[in-house]
Amino acid sequence: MDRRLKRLPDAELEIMLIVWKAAAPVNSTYILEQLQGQRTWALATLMTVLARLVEKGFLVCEKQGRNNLYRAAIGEDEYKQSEGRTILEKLYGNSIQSLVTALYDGRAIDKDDLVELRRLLDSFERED
Amino acid sequence: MLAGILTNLIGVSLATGAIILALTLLSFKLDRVYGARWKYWVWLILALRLLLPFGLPLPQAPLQIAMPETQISIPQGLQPVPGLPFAQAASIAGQAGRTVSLVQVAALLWLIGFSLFLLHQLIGYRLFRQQALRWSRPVSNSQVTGRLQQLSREMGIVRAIVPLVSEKVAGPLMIGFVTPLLLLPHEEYAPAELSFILKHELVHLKRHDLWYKLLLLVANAVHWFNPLVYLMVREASKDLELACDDQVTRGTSFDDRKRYSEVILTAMQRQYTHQTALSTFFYGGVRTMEERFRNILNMKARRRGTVALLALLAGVVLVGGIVSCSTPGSGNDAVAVVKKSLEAERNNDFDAWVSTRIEEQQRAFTREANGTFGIISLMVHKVEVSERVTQVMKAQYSGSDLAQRRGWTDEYIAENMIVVYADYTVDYDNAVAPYDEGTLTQVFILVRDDPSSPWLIWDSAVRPLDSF
Repeated sequence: MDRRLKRLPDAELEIMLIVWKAAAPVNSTYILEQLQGQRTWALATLMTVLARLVEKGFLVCEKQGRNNLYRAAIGEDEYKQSEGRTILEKLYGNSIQSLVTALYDGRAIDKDDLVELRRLLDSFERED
Repeated sequence: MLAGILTNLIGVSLATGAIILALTLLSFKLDRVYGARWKYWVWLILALRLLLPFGLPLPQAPLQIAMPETQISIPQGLQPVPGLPFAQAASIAGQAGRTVSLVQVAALLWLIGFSLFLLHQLIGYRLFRQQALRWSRPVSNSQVTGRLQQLSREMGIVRAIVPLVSEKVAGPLMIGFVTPLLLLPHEEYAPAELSFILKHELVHLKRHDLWYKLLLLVANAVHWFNPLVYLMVREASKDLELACDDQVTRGTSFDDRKRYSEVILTAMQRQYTHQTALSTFFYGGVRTMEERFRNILNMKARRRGTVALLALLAGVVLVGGIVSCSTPGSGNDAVAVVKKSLEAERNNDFDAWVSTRIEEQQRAFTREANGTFGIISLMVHKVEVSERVTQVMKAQYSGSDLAQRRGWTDEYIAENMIVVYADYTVDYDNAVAPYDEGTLTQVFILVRDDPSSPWLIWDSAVRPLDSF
């Protein structure tokens, strides 16, 4: 499928990420729970965003008794590929590590490097 | 002034660069003796040294605004002597407005480099942050949140950390100066793995390593023209990781250290298999990782190196002293000369007064023509060096006709010209001295033959300071 999907605003993507993560269709309560810890969402706001996502064709709403259940109509990978990167993002890659404390420098990975590091760690084992 | 700031900047850059080079070349020896923490402090001292001499280095605008022509009144009944600056102020100002000296070009270049460097870093940071957060969702694995809280408590960290999962990050990392955000590429970690990863990040947080990195970045921005400073930033970032690893593995067994190394390697491997595009514009990464693993698995106790650090600190300060000797002195002597001159006027002491003038004027002035000051009362409120007007004056005279006629090079002017102003309230005997009375500001330009000679007054004008 190579139809262009609209770039989702941050808030809508936030909801989609939760729906994609969940294996089964979810209701709004579940989404609200998952959103805890990030910015606080009011139920009304969430319902608006959910409705907009349904309208855009990203979500499918299924009625189950008194509950509305939501499931993704567009897969995460499909959207990810479609979103792509802006020119500026392409230009910068994720090469900026100057104001981040990382477990390791993520720019430095290469298959040969990994083999070399593996060998180094194993050599230490033999010594002791 | 501008020349002074620039020479100071380059001087500090060169001197510190030499130390950076020496430390890097000797690091294979030093690292065996001292732990990474030692180097961490060394780089901090050097970064501060690189930044410190410039309190607020507001560079001059590249084009000078012409000095406004205001009424110049010269007290003491002096006729404007040919070659005196204020008498020619208007004509000089006209020229200085258009002349752009080499120094000004250099200053402009520096400013452009500095701005571009910071802009590049800022855009990169904002983009990364924006992308990482856009694709983030809260951690749903309660093990992660639980362990994070527990470790925070154990390590005495009171700040709330927000854990997020974002596929856009290559490996676990922390970001945010105000609210610390922990970003994980996924949340399916084994308990032991999770502990090591969280500990590593929490140690960074506890030691304020982001601020350390910010300091390095600013030092790098100021010295963007010096490749040795880039080397320092690279080495310092590496030593920051080594020092962090040291703290995570302090007092642990070899097996634990081995496990910690495995955790890091596993994370790297996972990134390799999951990544869509390679972004390796960066070389030497594997060497850094090798060094980290060797460091983690090194069980030998190494010295803290307090004495060596103090020695280095003394050395850095000394080098700074040598560098700053070549820049204009504090100006206390110049203030004293102006005070002496005002004192002499009040006491109607021609000899003392004329001794504060440059030699040329000492010969030209006579007691008969210039010896009556006619002061009834004079109360001096304040005598100070004006750095700003000093800079304005230096910029005006550098490369001017007047300077050429006097044989003054830009370097001479940079080091041997200073502006002192005096606020005082004066009452003249108007029959002898029909000048402005009341509370006034008089601005003095002083010059000297060389940095070891005394300051002498070249000229002065009664004008408000902000008119320059």
